[in-house]
Amino acid sequence: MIKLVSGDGAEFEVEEEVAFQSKIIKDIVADADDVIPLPTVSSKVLIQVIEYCRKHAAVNSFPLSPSSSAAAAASSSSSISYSKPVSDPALRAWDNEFVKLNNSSLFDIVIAANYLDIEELVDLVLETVADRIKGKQAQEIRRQFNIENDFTPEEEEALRRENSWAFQNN
Amino acid sequence: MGSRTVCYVCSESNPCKRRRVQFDGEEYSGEKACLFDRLPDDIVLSILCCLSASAERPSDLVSVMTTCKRMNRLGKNPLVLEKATLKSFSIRGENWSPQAHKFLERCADAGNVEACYLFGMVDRMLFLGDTSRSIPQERRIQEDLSCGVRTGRDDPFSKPSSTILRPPEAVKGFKFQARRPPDTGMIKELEKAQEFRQRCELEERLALKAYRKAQKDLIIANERCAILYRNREAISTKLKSLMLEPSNFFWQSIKPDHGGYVHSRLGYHVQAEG
Repeated sequence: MIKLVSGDGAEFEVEEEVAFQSKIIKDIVADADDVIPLPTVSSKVLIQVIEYCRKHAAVNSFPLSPSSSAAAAASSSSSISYSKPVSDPALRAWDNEFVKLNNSSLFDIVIAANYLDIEELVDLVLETVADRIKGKQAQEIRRQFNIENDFTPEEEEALRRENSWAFQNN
Repeated sequence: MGSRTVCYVCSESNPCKRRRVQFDGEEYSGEKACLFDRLPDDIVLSILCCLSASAERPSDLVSVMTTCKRMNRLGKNPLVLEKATLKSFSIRGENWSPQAHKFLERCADAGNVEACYLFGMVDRMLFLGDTSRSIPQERRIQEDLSCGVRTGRDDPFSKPSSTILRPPEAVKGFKFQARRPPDTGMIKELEKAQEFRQRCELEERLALKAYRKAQKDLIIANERCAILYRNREAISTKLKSLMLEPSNFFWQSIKPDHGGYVHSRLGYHVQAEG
């Protein structure tokens, strides 16, 4: 068992294969003791991340095929990786349920997952966020993510003219 | 989850006073601050990459780029443009504009294979056509191109052209370098070729002028030649007639007093005799 300590001091005991979904934890455990402090991750987020890891560890533990680990190694070599499609449809459905969170929570999770180097979770969240952006007007996106419009009216007008081609019906 | 606000800065359940809760359907945003501010550039870039890699229309990527300055900056990152799908820059011919062309060029510069291909086709056709680059022609060409790109929504006959427009599978798998280095070479080559063509045209014009002049000269020469020939002919017939005529007639004819003239005739005669 490995003990994870969140930023607000809560301790979580998880099995090794669950914790090892995170490459960082795997590396840390290799040359340290079993209590791992994660000062930048709040317990609320850590609970969600552990929930995800637990589910995926259970599914992934059976087929730890060399091909999947090779693919993981290949994708980790490039700075940005893309959806390795999760093969299991049941797991896919579970993932889809898992990401039904508000944007703020999703962002917390992606920051934590990025920090802990859990590639699949990062990809899952990024795709979800991209899907939420897709097909929306700029104003809708601003509202959804609280983006402040920092363009001056002149700049906005210039931008609108520059990009008008993209908004004609294609 | 929406019943309580969590301050994401201090991670405590009592919200900071200045932050307001906004309920937005089932979603709420617990902060007034931009959510993306919490994400480092590389994660936002990854989101934009996901977006551009799955974009179904040009506005998908462009909308988010117009939300704020940071998005605008990150959206222009080559990493994002490189992943952009064909649909994210396929525009109908009538909507074609220099701005759209610029966007396509930017994608191509980022090493986007589909954009490279499309941009190359547009450029090539423009260069092949009138060098004055008239807009209607540009539009027409893009129309030709985009009817292939439009995935044949309107007419079933655009299918063959769409298969032609797509780069071959072998090319797709190939990792492209940024388009610039080979392209500048090509442009230089093209410029050189055009220069050469101009020089050739000039030389051709000069040659043509020289040829015309030579032809004119030849005609004049021929004319003179013909005149001289006629003269010679005339003289020789005269000479023949003189030679054939009996000499007594000749002598008779010079009997009458035609002073100088007789002498000249005599001269001929003497010469011929001699």
